[in-house]
Amino acid sequence: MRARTPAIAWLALAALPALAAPDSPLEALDTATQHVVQQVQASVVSLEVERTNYGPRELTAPERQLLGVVMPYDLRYFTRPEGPCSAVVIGPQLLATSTYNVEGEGEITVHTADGREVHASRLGTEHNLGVTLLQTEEPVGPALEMRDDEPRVGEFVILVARSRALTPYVTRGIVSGLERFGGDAFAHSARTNYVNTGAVLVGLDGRATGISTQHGHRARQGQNSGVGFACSFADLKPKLELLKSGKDVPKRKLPFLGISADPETFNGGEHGIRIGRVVPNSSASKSGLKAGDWIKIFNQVEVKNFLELREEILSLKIGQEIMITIVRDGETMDMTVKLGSREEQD
Amino acid sequence: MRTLLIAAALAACPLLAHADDDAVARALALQEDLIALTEAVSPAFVAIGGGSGVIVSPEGDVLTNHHVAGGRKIGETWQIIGHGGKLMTAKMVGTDEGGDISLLKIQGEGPFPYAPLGDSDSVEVGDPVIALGNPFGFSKDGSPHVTMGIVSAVHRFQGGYSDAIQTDTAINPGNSGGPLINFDGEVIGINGKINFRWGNRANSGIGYAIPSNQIRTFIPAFRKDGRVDHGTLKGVRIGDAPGGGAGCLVQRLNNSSRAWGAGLREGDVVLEADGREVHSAARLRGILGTFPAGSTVELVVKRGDARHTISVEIESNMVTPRNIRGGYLGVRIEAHEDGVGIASVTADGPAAKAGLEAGDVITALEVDGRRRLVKKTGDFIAVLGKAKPGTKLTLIGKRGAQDLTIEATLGEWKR
Repeated sequence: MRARTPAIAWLALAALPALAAPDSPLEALDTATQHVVQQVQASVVSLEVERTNYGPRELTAPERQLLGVVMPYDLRYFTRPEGPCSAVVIGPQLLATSTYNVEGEGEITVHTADGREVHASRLGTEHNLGVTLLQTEEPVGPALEMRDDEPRVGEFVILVARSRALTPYVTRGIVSGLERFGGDAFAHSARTNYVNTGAVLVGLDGRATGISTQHGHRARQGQNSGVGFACSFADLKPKLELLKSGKDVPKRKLPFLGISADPETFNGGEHGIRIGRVVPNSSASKSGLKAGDWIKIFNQVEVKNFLELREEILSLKIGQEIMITIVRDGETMDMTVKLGSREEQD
Repeated sequence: MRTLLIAAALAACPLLAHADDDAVARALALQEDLIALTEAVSPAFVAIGGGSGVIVSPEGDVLTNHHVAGGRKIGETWQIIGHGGKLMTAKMVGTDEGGDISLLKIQGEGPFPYAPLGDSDSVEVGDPVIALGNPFGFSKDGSPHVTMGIVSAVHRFQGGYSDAIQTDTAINPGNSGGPLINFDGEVIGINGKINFRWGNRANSGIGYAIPSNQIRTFIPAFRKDGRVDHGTLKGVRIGDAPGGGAGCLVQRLNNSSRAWGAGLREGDVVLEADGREVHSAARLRGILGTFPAGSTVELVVKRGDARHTISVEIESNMVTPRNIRGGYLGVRIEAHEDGVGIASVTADGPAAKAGLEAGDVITALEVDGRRRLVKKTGDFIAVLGKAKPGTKLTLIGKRGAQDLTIEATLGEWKR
């Protein structure tokens, strides 16, 4: 259970004579970080994107509730502000960046590591991974070598970005979790913001691990919460040829019932799911499910908890008709639900 | 500066380039330690409700925050998600509302994967640490989200978090109840609180953990009594020592208090509590808060030139809940420039039933035809504290630009 301790290594270092003493592991980490940044920084460029249809708007009441904010004091909570963002050179005249950076039709100007300005145009977008490829009118830097394997939790990641300047812009963290957002992203703790969205995450060995992307509303994670997401090159690589040809990979649709569980569900005393909220226009609302109903049997499976129900729903197909048994006001009823997709509600 | 020079010299100097390779090798070794640590402790992580927890014994003792699990009574159960998405049932054993810790016990056969409690008093500023949790609920499979940082400060007094470890490790909503772990794989604290502003509930680089040594002191009391309050001295006003010297000053003392009975007197300067040095009034409250109410704590005081040792039984730091709390509304409030902001509304609570929403701003409250302006959160709490369950309360304010008037019927606090 107990981890191997580096404490012995630290002690050994402290015992060495001062002049010959190498840095502590954390200092070595700083030196290694700098080494890695030098290796890759020429492959990271800054994007200037003409923002056309991004007007500020007020938060709606549900959005404020979701965010836990009191007033719509920052009217641009959900909008991509003006200002630079990052992209990564992955081939001759080929860039990859977060789709969030380049949504819309606005003109894109690339600011290279050696101070040039080059025009770029959009190729294909992978909407699940949140990555768009760009073609530049002339070469903008050396292509990064993209890593083939998925990262491991606990690996250090160095997020190398560029903010329209000749020096790169760097934050560092660790890989925090894998298989987030249905497997489309991994989580990391390098501090992220609008500038380093689309920048490259590099390992200590200098290998490019992934691209910093925008998943969910950035605002919900906080501008600088230490919870960031990225698309791994291992996931992106198989899609590159298609994206280079200018084709998009559409967002895959997931079957969606449209309920949230009431916290009462988790009491553990009673089996089933007590519905806390029904999403308007969802298949749940169309079939007449109501807040307060207990779902007892779903598709011939006894519902034990929300996690299993979710797994069950995700294993089914959109349009499939499902028999369910519910208890409403003490009365047991059977009903039929036709599964929709989440997108139909948006 | 030093690193900049190294970078500049790098290209020209093969010796330094070699040193660089060496640094990379040692940083990679540190990374292997971190990965091994993460793999070793992750199976001890559990998800509880919207928060986190950690298994600290092979028998299945689980620690989390009171604000995560305390909604259940002692003996009631939670469904928790463990390693590999495994669902387990855990029973509430005990809880400390003031100290924000709950102890649960997994039902079923062990041994369970666990991370042992470490010695939080040996933690030093600068120690590298990791946090396990499920910030914002992005993990759907029971695997923890791992973040790393350092210990920023120790023995921080933060009210209920009376002896907190402060860390810059990214801790966010959903991390609550999860462990702060040292590089020996030991739980040195339970994360539960962050500082943030403007309602943006996200890490700002300041997070707090309840120290493991305090929790260890509470565990027998949890098992024996279930609900345990944490202790303090009552009937005593304590200020910092005159002239900023060592210890703290007993400014006033109620002569019917236990402290008086134990021999404490006005003008005494408290130098030590439980053998630990006291350097401020907050630190004394902090040390006392690491003990359950009813514990006897030894104080060393200076009176004139003499030193005295006084043993005093400390009392619950909780004000009798019914008296202060009054009726239950089911909201979290926060300061707002126009009055009091509704930060969140508890599902199915009186406020939710009345239609109050997060984001509403309340400027006045009306009870029995008497209107009270609310300019700060204290005004709001004062009105609620005096109102009994069943009272009809009218909330007046704004929702966005629109005027808002909502009538709610106060409920009972669950304890």
